[in-house]
Parts: sequence; structure tokens; C-alpha cells
Amino acid sequence: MDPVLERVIVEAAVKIALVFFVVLTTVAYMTWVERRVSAWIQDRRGPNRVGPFGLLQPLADGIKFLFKEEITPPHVYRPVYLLAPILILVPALLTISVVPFGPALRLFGRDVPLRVADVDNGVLIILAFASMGVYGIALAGWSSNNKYSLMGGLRSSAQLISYELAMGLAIVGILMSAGSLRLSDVVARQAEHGWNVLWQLPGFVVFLTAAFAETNRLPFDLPEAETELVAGYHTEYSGMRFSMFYMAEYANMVTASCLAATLYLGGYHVPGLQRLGLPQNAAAIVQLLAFGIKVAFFLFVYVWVRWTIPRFRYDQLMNLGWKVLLPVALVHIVWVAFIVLMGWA
Amino acid sequence: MSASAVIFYVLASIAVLSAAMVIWSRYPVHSALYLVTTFLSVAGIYVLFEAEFVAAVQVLVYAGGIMVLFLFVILLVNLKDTLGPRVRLHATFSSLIGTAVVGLILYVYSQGRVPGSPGAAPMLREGGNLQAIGTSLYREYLLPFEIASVLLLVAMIGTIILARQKT
Amino acid sequence: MNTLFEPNYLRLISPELILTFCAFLLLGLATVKDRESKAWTPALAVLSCLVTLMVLLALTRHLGLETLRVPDLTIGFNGMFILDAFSVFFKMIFLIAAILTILISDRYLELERAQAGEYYALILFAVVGMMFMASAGDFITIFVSLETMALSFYVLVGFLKANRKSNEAALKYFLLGSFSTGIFLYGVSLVYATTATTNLGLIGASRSLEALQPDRAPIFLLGVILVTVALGFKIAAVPFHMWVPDAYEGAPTPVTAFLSTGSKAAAFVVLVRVFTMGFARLGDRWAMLLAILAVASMTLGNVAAILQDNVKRMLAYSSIAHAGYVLLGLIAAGAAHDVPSREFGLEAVLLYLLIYTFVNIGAFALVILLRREQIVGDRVVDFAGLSRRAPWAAFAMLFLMLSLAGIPATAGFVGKWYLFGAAVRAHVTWLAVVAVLNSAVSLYYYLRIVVMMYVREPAEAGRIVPSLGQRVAIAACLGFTVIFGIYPQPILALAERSVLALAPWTS
Repeated sequence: MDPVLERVIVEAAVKIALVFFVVLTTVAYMTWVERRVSAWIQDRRGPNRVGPFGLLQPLADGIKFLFKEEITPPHVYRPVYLLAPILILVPALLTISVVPFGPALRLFGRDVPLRVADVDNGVLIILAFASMGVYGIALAGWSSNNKYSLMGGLRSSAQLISYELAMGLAIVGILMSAGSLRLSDVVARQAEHGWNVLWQLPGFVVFLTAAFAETNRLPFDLPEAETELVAGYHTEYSGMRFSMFYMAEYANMVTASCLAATLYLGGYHVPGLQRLGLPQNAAAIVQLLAFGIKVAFFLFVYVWVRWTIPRFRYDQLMNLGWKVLLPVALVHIVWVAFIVLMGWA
Repeated sequence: MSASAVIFYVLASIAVLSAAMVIWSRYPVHSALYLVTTFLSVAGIYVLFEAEFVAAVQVLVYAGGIMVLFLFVILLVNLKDTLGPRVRLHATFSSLIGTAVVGLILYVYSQGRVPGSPGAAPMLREGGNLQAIGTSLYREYLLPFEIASVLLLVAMIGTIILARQKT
Repeated sequence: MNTLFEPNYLRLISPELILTFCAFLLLGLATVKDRESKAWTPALAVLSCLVTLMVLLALTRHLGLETLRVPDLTIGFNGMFILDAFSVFFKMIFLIAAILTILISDRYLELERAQAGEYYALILFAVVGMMFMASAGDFITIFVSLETMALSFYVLVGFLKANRKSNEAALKYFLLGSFSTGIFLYGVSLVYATTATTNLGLIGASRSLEALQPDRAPIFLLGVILVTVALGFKIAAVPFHMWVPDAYEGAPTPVTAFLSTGSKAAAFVVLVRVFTMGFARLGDRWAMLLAILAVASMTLGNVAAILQDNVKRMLAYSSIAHAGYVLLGLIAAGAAHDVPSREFGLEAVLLYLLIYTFVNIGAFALVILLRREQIVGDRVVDFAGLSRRAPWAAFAMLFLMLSLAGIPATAGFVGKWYLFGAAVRAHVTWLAVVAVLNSAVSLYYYLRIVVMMYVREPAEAGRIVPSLGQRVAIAACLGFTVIFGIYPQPILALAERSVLALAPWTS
């Protein structure tokens, strides 16, 4: 095989493995963070027995899930029932592939960009993969052959489709100012002209709200609202398959946080870093860390919101999506277009 | 055969086979899922031809948007009992005619040859195919693009009128 | 190659822009709760069409289209839009059809309790689609404008939501319409595959020569056939007519009137444009194809119409038959070997479509007249004794029926004379013979209604009083039929001049 091609493939494989490892670890530790933070908010202690500060808790949970009995209820529609968790998890993990984590790192005499794929319509690919996640949820709900599951699945699909629109329109503002769908261009532009959050605040708010709905998190977790739907679309799932739903939810949170950081908080950009004159690799690592901090901030917001804001009613959720967020996003597009046209941006 | 040709034939046969399964499968849900598979493999073919934008839109709009709504309807309306024996007979009859037409079309294809357009790909690559699509959409195809907006508006109004409870 | 957008282009589409704007306005008005102001909606809709018509004529005069130099057209949007005398002629037909339709809608909608502003907005949107179809110079424009029109009609056909027949009609029309759209796109994709363009002018000028090389010809021809099939659906030609009787019967009657005239004319404008511009080199081949459709349409349409007891259904089959007649002109344009004969064929098409618009809407207006509380009034027997109950209306119906049958001294005769004459001139005399025989058959079912009106005793007493809009519409249709039946020169000259715009392609 062509040695250049070989190197490219090896590089990509290593990056994919690394990203998977990081994302899955983050996902695992998010369950711990969630419980610790909720405990802190509610003035409790949370899991603190397994390892120092309970840090080994996710590991214990993972082992527990693996050894739990997997029950396939007799009334389910088997082929689809087994397929659904996979259909949810795969798109959730794929989305992360176009996110730029940092600038290029100089390794073995060549520049290694810190992202898996740098495609010229990264934003579209994220939206496309995100939209595929609906299938898993809708089918999980339907194949479980249980009214609560079906209701949950339907609610979730309706919610995802409605909020996808608002989210897409909010992102249009970013794309207009960057003049590109490539995420690294979005970052580069913010490094030059200042972070988008500074002048696209309405878009940012819409994006963040829609992101909560897209990840089925409180206050928009109606598909699995336990007070009315038992556990929604994953009522009939158990063991590892059940945990796949959880992993997908947290993976989606990670992606959404990465996206929010990239689109609105300048991605891996650190203001004033250039003036320090650090060597390339050191600067890259600082920027990588900065990106990590920004993502961590959003992840914290997710948890924080979950334990402070009560759940919406379903019609309120739909009203918010269609009658508030969508118009706001549209007006925001006009506003951004105006600014871009006048050359003020 | 080059690697891309192999990938093309694999994707194309998946697309055609699952399209056939859309018609043949007994359960509407299966049909819907096969149709999604068709859409995804067509998107794969677009990627192969370096039309990433079209591929992403294909997934976003068809697989992610329209088919979800289809699935929605199928899940809500239980179609299981409507496929009676009479419909089966009808289906056999129409599939015979359909097969004949397909045969005819395949025969025509075997008689003719569609020329490739080698000039298209490099033009698209210049500045990314996004830019090429944007340019042609807002310059050459500006008028159809704008008419399409009226078309979509009509579709929206129409749905609302038909779905509204009472005038 | 990529010229930027020119402000001048806006002027070219200004009639369409104005009409679109008016449609938006009517939509906004539909949200107003106040009944008083709602009553003005139909008047506003008519006014919108009139203003558009005026702007269109002013624009034509301004651009000098009426003096008709050859090639007499103004191309905009990179060949996507062609404003020529030919398209202006059809745009006039669409606007007139819309005005007449709106005039006969008001009372009907009231009786059906379906009075709604969206109805008029949808009619205007349909006209916008048709107007763009008339000017389309590219398959892409044709497709989007065709769909704009079709979608409006799908909704209009199903507008009476409480009526099961209306729902069924809309569903059937929608499903078959979608199929035809798919077939159309498939055909266009094959044409594109062999010519590398969707522009009609380019295909006609040079690309079709390349596409007719032996290695590409089969695929190109398959594309042409599929496009023909799809447009055959829209003009309601046999064997693509399955949706017509049900859709025409179930739809609200004014919509049926509009569907049978406006939509048919719009499909014909595309047919003429595509075949004379894009596929001109294949003239004798598609003429054969269309001849099959024409014979089947005329024969089946007329024979089936005899068997109908429902007037709307009867007129539906009659409309199928008329599509067959009109195809004669197009066939003549394809089959003739000299330029004057080709132009003569196209002239006949234009002329007949204009006449048919007035005559057919007039006939449906009379059907609407019989619609009263509790009485649907669309059976043939409902016409019994109409001459006693509404003498003028019966007289109008008499004339319109004679015109549809093609009796001399009516406009319908003039139209058929030219259509059949074109066929003879293009040496497809056998088609003309078939058409004449069919016309004789059609006389039976048209006269059946006349006999009903004048010979039979009325089933119920009481005079029928038309509304103002109905009076105006019926008077206009009757006047047109009578005046141009006796003195057809003005519309003849108009059609003649409009066809000249297609000269670069017909020669």
C-alpha cells in the first residue's frame, strides 16, 4: 500500500480510538458528576464509597450492568427491539467526529490536526447524524409494545423534529458570519473577530434551549417523564441495552456541549495566547485544555439546569418550540444578515 | 475494478435491494426502515461522487426528516389488518406489469450509453462543492429557487387547511 | 456564464410578483374575524387578477412584444424565464379563467358552508404557478411551477372537508398527481443524462442532436416518452385519465371548472413549449406518440360521456375528449413538414384553449346555478325544465352545449374547424376523420341536456335567481361564445401573432 495513505489511515485510526476513549470516559464520569452535583445542590453527599470521592463508581456501575440479567419481554417485537438501542448509540457517537478539539500538534515531524475529520460541511453532518437519532427512540418505543413506551417514543420524535428546526436556524447565524460550514473555519473566524456569543446572544440562547430538548434532558425530558410514563421509551429495556440508552443520552450531551463551545465560545481559541509566544505544541495543549474547560462548563450547566428547573408540560414544550424559539431564531437570522451585510461583523 | 467502483456497486445493490424490500416486506414498519436504508446508501453514493453537501442534505431531509414523519404515521395507524387477500392479488397483478416495464427500461438502457461528464467534478471541487452549489442555486437557478419558496408556502397552507378542525 | 442577478429581471416577472403579493394579502385577510370585511375577499381576488392582467398587458406593450419582431422574446434568469407573446397569451387565459372561477365561487361556497379566504388565495397561487409554467424555459422551472399549481389544486379539490366525495377526489388526484410528478422527473433526468442540460432552448438548438447519436438515442427517447406520459396525466389524456372523473365529480364545482380549463391549458403550454422548443427535432416521432393518445382520448372520452347521469362526470369525460381534440393541433405541428402548417397547428391549439376556457367555465357555472340548499343539482335530470325556471340561463346553457359539440355559429365550431383543418393540412387526415366522427357522437350527450331543459317538465317550480357574480360570468361566457362564433377574426389574429414567438423553433 502507498506509504502516505498508510500513514493517513493509521493516524485516523489512532485519533478515532482516542476520541472514543475520551468520549466514553467522559460519558461514564458524567453519571458520577451528575449524582455528585445533584447531591451538592440538594445538600446530600452522593456516591462517595467506591474509591476516593466515589471516583470508581462508574466502573462499578459498568460491571453491574454487564452482569445484570437481560430480559427481553415476551410481548416485544424482537428484531426492532434489539436494533433500537444500537440505532440510538451509533449516531450519538458518530457526531463527535467532526468537532475540532484543538489546532495542529507537531508529532513525528508533521502536523497532526486535533480532530478526526475536517469536512467542509461539518455542521450539516452533525445535524444529519443528530436527526438519525430519532429512529432509535421512536422504534424503541414502538417495538416495546407498551403504551408508555409508545407515548414516550412519539413524544420524543415530535420534540426532536420541532427543536431541530430552531437549532438549525440558530446555527444559520453562525454560518452566515463565518461564511463556511466547516467548524475549524468557524473557530478561526471567532479567533479573529471575537466570540460569537458576544453578538449572537439570541441565537446562543435558542441553540442552548434546543440542545436541551434534543438531548431529552430536563426540563424537556417528557419522553421519559417518570411521573406519567414510567420510564418512557426505555421502560422495557434492562441490563446493557438499557445502559446504551443512557450512554447515548450522555454522549449527545457531550456532543452538544462541544458544539456549543465551538460555535459560540470560540472553540479551542484562547484570547491573548499568541502574545505569550509559546512553542506550537505547548500552545496546542493549552488550547486543547481550554476547549476541555469550555465543554466542561456546558456539561455542568446541563446538570445544574436539570436539578433546578422543573419539567415542562408537553403542550408548553411544543408552544415554546414553535411559537417562541422558531420566531426568535428567524428574527435573529435577519439581524445577523443585516450586520453581515453592513460589514459590521 | 477500482476501490471506488467496488464501493459503488455495493452501495447501489444495497439501495436497489432495500428498495425492492420496501415493496415486498409484509410489515409497513419494515418497509419504512428499508426505505431509510435506501436513502442512506444513496447518500453514500453521493459521498463517493464527492457531493458531500447533497449527501448531508439527503440524510438530513429524507432519512432524518421525511421518513421519521412516515414512520410516525405508520406507528400510529395500525395497518396490519388492511392487507387482505384481495390486495395481494392486486399486488401480484400490478407487480407483473411493473416487472414488464422495468424489463423494458433495462432493455433500453442496455441499448444506449450515458456519457459521463468528466468536466463536472473538478469544477465542483474548486472552492468546495458547497460554494459551487450555492453559486448555481443563487445565480442560475435563482428563479426556480424562489418559486420553490412559494411552492412550500402553498404546501404549508394546504396542510393547515386540510388538518384544521373547523373553519 | 454566470451572469449575476439583474434588476431588470424583476420587471419581467412583475405580473407574477404582484399576483403573489395579492395572494399573501388575501391570506392575511383570511385571519380577520370580522364577517363584513371578509365579504370583500372575492372582490379583492378578482381585482388582483385584473390588476395583474393590466400590468401584464402594459409590460407587453412596453417591451414591444405586441409588434412582434422575430425572435420576439425576452429571456431572463439565465434562460429560466421567457417572456414572449406566446406566454402572454396563455397568462391571459389563466387570469381570465381565474376571474371567471372566482365569480362563480362566492354563492357556491356559501351554500357549502366552506366560505374561506384561503380558497381565493389558493386560486391565486395556482395562477402564479401556471403563469410561471407559461414562461418556463427550463425543466427545473417547469417542475417547480407545475408543482406549485398542482399542490394548490390538490387542496382546492379537497376543500369541502365534510364531503366524502371531495376527500376521495383529493386523495385520488393527489396520489396519481404525485406519480406523474415522479415520472416527469425520471424523464427529465434521462433527458439531462443524455444532453447535459435542462434548458429547453439548449436542448432544442444543439444538444438534442448529440443526444440522437445512436448510442444515446434510446435513453433520450425514453426520457421524451416519460415526459409525455407525465404531461399526459396533467392534460387528462387517455390512458392517463383515471383520476379525472372522480376528481372532477368530487371537487367543489368552481374548482372543477378551473381544473378543466386553467390546469389543462397550463399543461398544454408546457407540452407545446417542451415539444416545439426542446424536442423539435423529433417532431414526427412524438407526433405518432401523441396521435395514439389523441385517438384514445377522443374515443373513450366521448363514449364514456354518453353513459353518465352526473353532469360533472359527463363534463369530465367531455374534457378528456377535448384534450384529445386539442392534441390534434400539436400533432399537426409535429407532423407537418412546412413552417406555415406547423404554425397553423399551434395557432389552433391556442385558439381552442382560449375558447374552451370560456365555454367550459360557462357550462360549470350553470351546474353551480342548480346547487341550492338540500339539492346538489349535478345530475342530468336536475336540468329538467330549466327553460321555464330560468329562461336566460337555459339559453346560455343551450349555446354552451352547442359550442362544446362544435355546431356552426358558435366559438366551439371555429376552434374545431381550425384544429381539424390543421390536421388535414399536416397530412394526418385520418386523425381529422376520427375527430369529426367523435364530434358527431358527442352531440348526443350535449343535446341530452338541451332536451332536458326545453322538453321535460320541471320537477319543481320556482325561478332560479343567479347571484351578481354568476350573472357576470355566464354573460361573459355566453357573449364570448356568440360574438367570436360569428366574428372570430380578433382572437384568430391574436393567436396567430402569439405563435410567431415560437418561430425560432418551429422553423
